[in-house]
Amino acid sequence: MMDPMFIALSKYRRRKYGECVENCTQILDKNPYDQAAWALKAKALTQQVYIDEIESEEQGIAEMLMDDTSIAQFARPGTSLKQPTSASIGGPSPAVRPVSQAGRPLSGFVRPGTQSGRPGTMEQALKTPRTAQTARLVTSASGRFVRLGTASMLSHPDGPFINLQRLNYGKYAAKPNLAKVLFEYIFHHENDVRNALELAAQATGCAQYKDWWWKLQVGKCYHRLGMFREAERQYKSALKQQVMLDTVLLLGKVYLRLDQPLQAVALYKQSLEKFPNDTTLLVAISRIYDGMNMIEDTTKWYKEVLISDGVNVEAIASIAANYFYTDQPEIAIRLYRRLIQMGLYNVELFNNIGLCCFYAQHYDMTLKCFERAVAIATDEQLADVWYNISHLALGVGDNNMAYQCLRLAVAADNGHTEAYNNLAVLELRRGDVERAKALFRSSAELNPLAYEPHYNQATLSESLGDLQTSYSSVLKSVEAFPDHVDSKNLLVKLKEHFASL
Amino acid sequence: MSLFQVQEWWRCELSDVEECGSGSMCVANIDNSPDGIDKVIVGSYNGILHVYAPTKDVGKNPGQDVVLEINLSDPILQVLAGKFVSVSTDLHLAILHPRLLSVYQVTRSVDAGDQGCQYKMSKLYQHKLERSAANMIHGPFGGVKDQDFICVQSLDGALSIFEHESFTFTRFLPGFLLPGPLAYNVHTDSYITASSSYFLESYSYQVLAVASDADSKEDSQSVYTGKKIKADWTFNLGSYAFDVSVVNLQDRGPLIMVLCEHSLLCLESSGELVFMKKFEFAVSCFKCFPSPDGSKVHTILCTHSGQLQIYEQSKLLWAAKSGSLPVHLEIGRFLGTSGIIVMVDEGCRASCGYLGTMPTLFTLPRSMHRETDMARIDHELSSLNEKIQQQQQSNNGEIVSSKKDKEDLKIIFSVPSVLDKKSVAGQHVKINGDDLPSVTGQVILKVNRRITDIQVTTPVAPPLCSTIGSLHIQAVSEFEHSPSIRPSFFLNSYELPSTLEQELIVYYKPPSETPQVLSCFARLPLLLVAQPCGPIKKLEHKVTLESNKPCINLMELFPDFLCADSGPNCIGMQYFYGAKATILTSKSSNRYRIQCEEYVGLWLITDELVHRIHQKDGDVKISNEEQPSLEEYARLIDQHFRLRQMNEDLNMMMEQRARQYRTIQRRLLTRFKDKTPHSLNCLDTLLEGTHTQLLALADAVEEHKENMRRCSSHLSSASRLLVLLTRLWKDLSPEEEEDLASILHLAQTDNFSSSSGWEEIVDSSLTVLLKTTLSRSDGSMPTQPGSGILEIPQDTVKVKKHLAIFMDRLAKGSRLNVGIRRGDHPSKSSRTETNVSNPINRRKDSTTLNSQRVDAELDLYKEISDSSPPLPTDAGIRYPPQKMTQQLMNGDHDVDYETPLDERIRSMDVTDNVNSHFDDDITDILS
Repeated sequence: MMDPMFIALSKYRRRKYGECVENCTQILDKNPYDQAAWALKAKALTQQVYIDEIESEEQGIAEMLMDDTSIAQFARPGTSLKQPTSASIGGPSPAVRPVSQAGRPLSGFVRPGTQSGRPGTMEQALKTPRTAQTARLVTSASGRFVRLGTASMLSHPDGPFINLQRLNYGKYAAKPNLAKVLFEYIFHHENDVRNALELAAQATGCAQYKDWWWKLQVGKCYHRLGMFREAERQYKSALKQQVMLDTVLLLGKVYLRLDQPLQAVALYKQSLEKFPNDTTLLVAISRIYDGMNMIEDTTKWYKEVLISDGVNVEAIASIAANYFYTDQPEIAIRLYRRLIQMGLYNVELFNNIGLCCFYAQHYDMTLKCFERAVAIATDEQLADVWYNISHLALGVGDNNMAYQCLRLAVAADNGHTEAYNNLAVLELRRGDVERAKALFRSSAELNPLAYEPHYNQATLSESLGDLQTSYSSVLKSVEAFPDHVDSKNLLVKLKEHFASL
Repeated sequence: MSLFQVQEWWRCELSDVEECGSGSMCVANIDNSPDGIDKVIVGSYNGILHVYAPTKDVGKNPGQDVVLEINLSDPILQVLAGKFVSVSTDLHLAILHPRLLSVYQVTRSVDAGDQGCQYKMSKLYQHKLERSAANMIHGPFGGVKDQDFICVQSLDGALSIFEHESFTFTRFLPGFLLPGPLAYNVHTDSYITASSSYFLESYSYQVLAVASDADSKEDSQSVYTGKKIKADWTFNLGSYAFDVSVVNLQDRGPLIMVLCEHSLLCLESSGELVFMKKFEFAVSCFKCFPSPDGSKVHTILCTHSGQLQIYEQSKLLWAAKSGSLPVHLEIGRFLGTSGIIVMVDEGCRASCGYLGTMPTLFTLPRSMHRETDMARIDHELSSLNEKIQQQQQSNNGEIVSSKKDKEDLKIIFSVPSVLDKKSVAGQHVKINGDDLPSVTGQVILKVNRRITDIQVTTPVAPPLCSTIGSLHIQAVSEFEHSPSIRPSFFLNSYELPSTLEQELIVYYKPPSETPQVLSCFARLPLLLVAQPCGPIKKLEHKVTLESNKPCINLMELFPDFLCADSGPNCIGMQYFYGAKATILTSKSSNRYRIQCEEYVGLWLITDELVHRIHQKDGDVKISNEEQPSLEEYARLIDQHFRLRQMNEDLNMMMEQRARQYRTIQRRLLTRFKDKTPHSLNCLDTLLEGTHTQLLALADAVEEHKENMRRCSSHLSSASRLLVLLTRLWKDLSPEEEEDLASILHLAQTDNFSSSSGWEEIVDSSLTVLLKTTLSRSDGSMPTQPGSGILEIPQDTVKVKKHLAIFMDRLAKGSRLNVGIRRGDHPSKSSRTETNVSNPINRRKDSTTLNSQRVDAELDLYKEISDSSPPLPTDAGIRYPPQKMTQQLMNGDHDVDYETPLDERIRSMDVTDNVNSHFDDDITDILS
């Protein structure tokens, strides 16, 4: 007969965690003091809900605004992630590359954090509307972690596996092989950072501060608790003992939270000497450059990623997006086609290929691509697809179709700013000033960081003689896009007019 | 994600369901055939051993490639091929069972005939294991040449070394918890294993062997004694290791490759990190081998997403999709081709394959759209366009069509004239004596479009009670069944309500508009407060009404109040609280007489009578010849006023007592706080006394409030009667009646909260009225709307006097509605004060039925916009690789004026005369 422990181990190895837990439970029923089965069960339960700490972070409003950790509140340009549109250092102009609702240029790949951006003020953060594809941040990151850590609340017929309240941490900390398993269980499965920290702190002491793994875990706990300086100290100490990728990446994350992107990049580059061509490091660097709107560097580093990992979807998609927005749709098509060949099949891809084909004048393909995109789109994606089809219609001069497409976009997502704006322009062409005004207004309200509706509102009000509204709108437009020449001209014109009065 | 896929070259067919795991396969030339072709040996946990010799033409003869298949009837944990016999250098097969290690010889014998060859397996030797085995390794331990020894790791951490037929020694690993992977490094002659504390440990064979000093008995596998075993070196992996393997590079010696749960590490044989690679995916198995030039290490990984990836150090060389999810991976040489990848999945199905440039056969799902008849599509498009155009014209292109003009809500509120069969009153209030009757009405809300936050309230006159005080409904839409509410009404004590007109108020919120209020009235049956009784000829208080037509038969008029003594000219009833009343009609003249034991009881019956007569015959004109008597009314006012004064006194006294109580408390406190104790000076007795007084006063106030409420109700009844009689007397128009009602402040209830009482409000209203509309000097006197502050008057003389003057003036022929109407009338302000609802939004709804209109218009855009999904809440958990490339889709944002619209359209725009100045603007900006 096979030993039940062997079966459990084999199941664990094959990632059948549920069956592994069952086997371990049976062993524990027979012998409640079987440490090996206990440890294996804890490991299996942890793996069921494991998320790599490096990937899992999304900042909430509270973290971002009541942020007293960043070094400089008003950083010099090019040294901070906080300025949404820093066109001055060679970032893309919002006139060319659209911005998300939080005012950041759209990235080519959705990651945690790309949607949210960093709002400048509390007012702005709260004003960002909550729509179907909200850009509004979650209120607090801790709220999200609460949701992540609900695994412990799954109903176990005989109570939780490990009762944290009754653990004697000192006893476990002295046994490294049990303590490490227990720590991971508390941290990932129970999501109880405080108890995890207590265990880790005692264990690192028991290991005479010679085990970098414990320092890393203490740092992780500090990081979760928002004590970044302490976390940095732990990570650095761990790095002194042993340079590991995890430690480097976590330390980089701390630097990002302190709003020190350049220091993070320097750290990653230094680590690249130790781990040449490591994909994770290269991707991390590219993401930082992407966050700082440095398109050239982003593309360069993503290309480095592709050299060491030719099938990295994030890199391909980001490079393709950058090519598209720098007016090279033909190259973007090739990259997107590569993604299709690799087996991706989703709305976004078809939509993007459709757009690229349109701008590269492959008109025959365009409609087919959009047709497919519409066929497989869910409601929230549908709005964007229709919006893009409306561009197609505008491009071929079919205003009526464009109008209908935009209406469909608005129907699918009633918070689609751009669709409202364009609908207003079309209404204006039809001669319905009142409706155009209303639509401009709702567009401007939905996304205060897009400059187009503000500018349009300003021009419209100015031509109607409502100079006061025009002035207030054009101010908002200039604020959203400081280098917009037309807005500035209008502002000067209005100021001259007011001065002459 | 990969471009290519693994080309399958051979695979075995299995009929039974078997299970196996890591280590269940080995690839070796196990029969030592001279051509050097490898065989695939697979052992399953079910105890069946398969040996295959993969051949190309599997399709023709499926059984041909199966060389051997034996059921060993004991689970096979691991198979290994090595030189396990001391006398030869041939390969033999070692099989690890849970408690047994056996070594077999596999031989091939060529038959004489043309039947092919035959394979045999014979057991050479076996060792019984005392501990459950986990895994094993083989190698030339101790530097022995051309021979392999076996080391078995047990589940509880003992390493047992077997040198061929003889058992050598057993050692326990220190700090053991879970069995980790095991590897043997030939160069340093050491075992490498990963411990549960995430350390990679290297134990030298020498150290293990030397530690055994008390090995007296040869075959004892359970020796505990020995020197403490110490690892040569350890390396902190930081993660649980799945597998370890040692690769010998020609250039730089051996490298140790460790597969962890989420990473791959490469170490020198001395334990220094060379490189590491993090994975975003889960790896099921790996195989390392030196690169052809011997300078770098190559790794084949198999991921749980079904991908085969080949790395040179940490750089990805090749990625291919594999058909199955293998648990073990080997590289073998078959039919003269080396480098064939052999995989076995957990169902024991082995397969061989090679990497080719065959692309992944991912075919897009066929789109639903088929080319159809162009003419038909054109026709459909034009008809749809027409519809859209019509729609746009009809609703003026509003994206959300509005139904503002239509009524959102219709209330149907009806109360039957019959009582409930079984009274619900007993369930809600506890009254001693008989059950009071109840009546159940019905409220139906008919909506034309979705409304939300509906609140239905029934404000009742005090002794009356309703089963629903206030009811909240989340939302009602036109598609749902209209909600039906059934409120019941009943008396909660033996008293008299001031009115039987029941109001129903509905607050609701139409979409995107300000909240609205609707109210409607229904009449509760008289049976709710009175019961039939024999008529009595003479009663103290009476009212006489005249009619322009002969008296109607009372038995027809009040069929619900018939009893033995009643006749066509007289009918009697008794209120539940005791007072009796009688209605008499005169046989000769057209007169009705209502009489009652108490003055306040007259009102409900008179009202009911007038109401029923009007219902019976609309043309009947009822009038009252004589001026309504103010005598009883004045008495009620006095009573009410007295009660109010008493209330004031009580409140005053309570305030004073409370102050006294506080003072005593303060005194006591200072006394208690004092360091040197003093006597309490009877302050405690005083405190207790005051407390008792306070409580007694509070009880009195409570009781008083109840009296007050009852008196107010009576006053209200009397006022209503006065208004009714005045109307009948002077034949007032409805507006005048309404004004009079507001002057007399009908709905006044016990408003303890408001500072101004009934007397002063009525008095000030009357004063203004007398000074303005009813003034003798034809309204030329300037209006002085009182002093502005309403205070409780000294006595009721003034108000009674004013009332008398008011009646006088009316008697002399003055009308109410002459000059000022609804302007700065002070009575107006008092009225809005007591009205519950905002008069602007208020619409009175008749209780009659009104059929609901069905809106059958086609509304294309609206339907679409209605189906838009509910807004999700905060962003949920996102795993980065799942969402990709979303962003480009927002395309080009600025269609604003800078949109490159072509010339044709712009010229069309110019023809639009109305807004031509915009086009100028557009060209401006374009330039």
